[in-house]
Amino acid sequence: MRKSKSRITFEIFNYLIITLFSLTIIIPFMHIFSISVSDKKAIDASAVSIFPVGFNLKAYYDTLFGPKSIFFTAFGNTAIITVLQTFLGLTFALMAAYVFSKKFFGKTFFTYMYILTMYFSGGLIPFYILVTKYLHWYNTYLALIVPGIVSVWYIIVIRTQMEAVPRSMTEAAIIDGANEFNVLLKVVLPSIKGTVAAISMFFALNAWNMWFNVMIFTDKPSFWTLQYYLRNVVISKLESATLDRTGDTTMEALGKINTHPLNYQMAAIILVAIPIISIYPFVQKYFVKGLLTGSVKE
Amino acid sequence: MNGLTAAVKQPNYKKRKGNRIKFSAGRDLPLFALLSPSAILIIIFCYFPIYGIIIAFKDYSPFHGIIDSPWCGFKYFTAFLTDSDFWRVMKNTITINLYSLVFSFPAPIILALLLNEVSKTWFKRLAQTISYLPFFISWVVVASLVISVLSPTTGIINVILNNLFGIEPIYFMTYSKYFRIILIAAGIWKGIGMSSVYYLAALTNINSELYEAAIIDGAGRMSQTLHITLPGLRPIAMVLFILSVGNLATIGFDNVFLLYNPLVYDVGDVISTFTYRIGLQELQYSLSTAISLTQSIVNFAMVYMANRLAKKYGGWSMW
Repeated sequence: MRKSKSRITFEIFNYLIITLFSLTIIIPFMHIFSISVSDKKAIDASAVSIFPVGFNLKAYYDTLFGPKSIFFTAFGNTAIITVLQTFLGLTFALMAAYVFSKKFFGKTFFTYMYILTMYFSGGLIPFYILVTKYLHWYNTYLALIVPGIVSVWYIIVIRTQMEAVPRSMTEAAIIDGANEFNVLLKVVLPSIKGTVAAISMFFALNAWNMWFNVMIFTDKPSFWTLQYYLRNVVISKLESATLDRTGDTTMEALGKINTHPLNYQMAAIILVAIPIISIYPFVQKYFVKGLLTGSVKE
Repeated sequence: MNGLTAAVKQPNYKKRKGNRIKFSAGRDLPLFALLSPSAILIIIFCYFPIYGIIIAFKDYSPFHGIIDSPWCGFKYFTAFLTDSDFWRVMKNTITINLYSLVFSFPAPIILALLLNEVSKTWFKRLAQTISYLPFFISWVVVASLVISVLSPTTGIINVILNNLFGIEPIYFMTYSKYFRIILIAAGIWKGIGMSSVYYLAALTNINSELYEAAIIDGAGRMSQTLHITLPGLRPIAMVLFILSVGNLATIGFDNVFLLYNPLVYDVGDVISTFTYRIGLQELQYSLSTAISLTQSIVNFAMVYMANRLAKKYGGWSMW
């Protein structure tokens, strides 16, 4: 059927708007990358917009491999925290969800106990006091990993999925002599693989992007995560995070520097964003599915 | 659809005394074992801080600890309720949330409607994938992008303004008049892609027979959108809207904290950043806790009511 003229106009308009919107996402990154490799003079002359003016990867080299580089330390911290928090968070959530999917003594009590925490919390300061004064976890990895493990919301989502597992399957396993843990592991878990994948992705993303706990619970760069490192380089511009200074401040030495501080800051943005940007297209479907099936909170 | 099933009241399966579940070691002990890790973590990280709320009524000092710090009643509550800084911050929080509601709420809906009209699958998929990118990157990356893009002299906005229009560099991030726009625009940019999936899913759930019947009846595109598409989105939109309203008194910390600076505190300082500064930078632990507690209670009431309304009108429930 022939499309009407107004329909064609609308469709052109539609493609245009969506393209413009997509450009608002692509162009900032092109701009940032361009600045990260451009010449010092061009940057200062407001000449760098979408494309580089000159091309120099020194900022990247220094940030990654320079003598004062802490990028890989930060990367390592982020990776460890992500793996541990995801694994523990998922495991504990699965166990709790399994229990809540069954009847047991005190179920109502525990249900209220868990759900109340979603509505009401002690606030930042009591939490801070707990971790620093009573647990003595200041400047430890524990402070960065453990608080993020428990999430009642995910427990509820998983529980709903578990309740949909046919009773016949779980009962057959029990008749065969399996204990609860085995039932969970070998019967229920395989049946909700999709949910498990989705929830673990959310845990992982959350852990990967963490920076606030680093800020309030540590004061050593050895604990920095990638995001916190980025914050210091670009947003609060801490002295220890800049890398283009060799310490030599003679006029001659300063004259030799042909990189712009922005080269380093922009390089940091790109380097910190690359891991996520390269992975997310392949796992986006888990997030979409997770959002829809459980209305998972962002 | 969902609204219809919600209107049908479920029979009330309230537990009668005779139906209480009795303890059975064989059944319950293994379950308690499975429950214990999360339960212990919840007691430590959720309930101990809830107990710690009492420092709002004490002159807490780290030296004395929670128990030994002296009581002082409502001293800190009176303090902040009579502090104009607090009310400014409260006003900022609600204002930003209201602006957000007006602009951020429709954005994903519009994107979903536009994407839905795209016939070329590859374009739609590509656009969607690109639109999800801001969701995945952290607020640190987003804030870094915003600050860099708006940077005077070197940021692309100023570069264009300077080269094309000869305008002097504008220090966008230092002006209160720009801050709300920047904050909300960044928020939309970050969330619109992922949020649109709710609506796109709802759109695919609309019965195509409705459209066919409408076309037969001679309805144009506009009419179809008004009478079929939008009503089809109503349940999920209602639920999300009510939940957003329920969060009017809270606001995220990350985005504001990373984007603001003292020059824009008058419009940008919100309850979350305020309590953070009071508590962890000015070390007024009790005062910060008092503010937090009040805010928690207000928020609890609002979220609870919002959930009730969402359940009633959208058939959606937290549990």
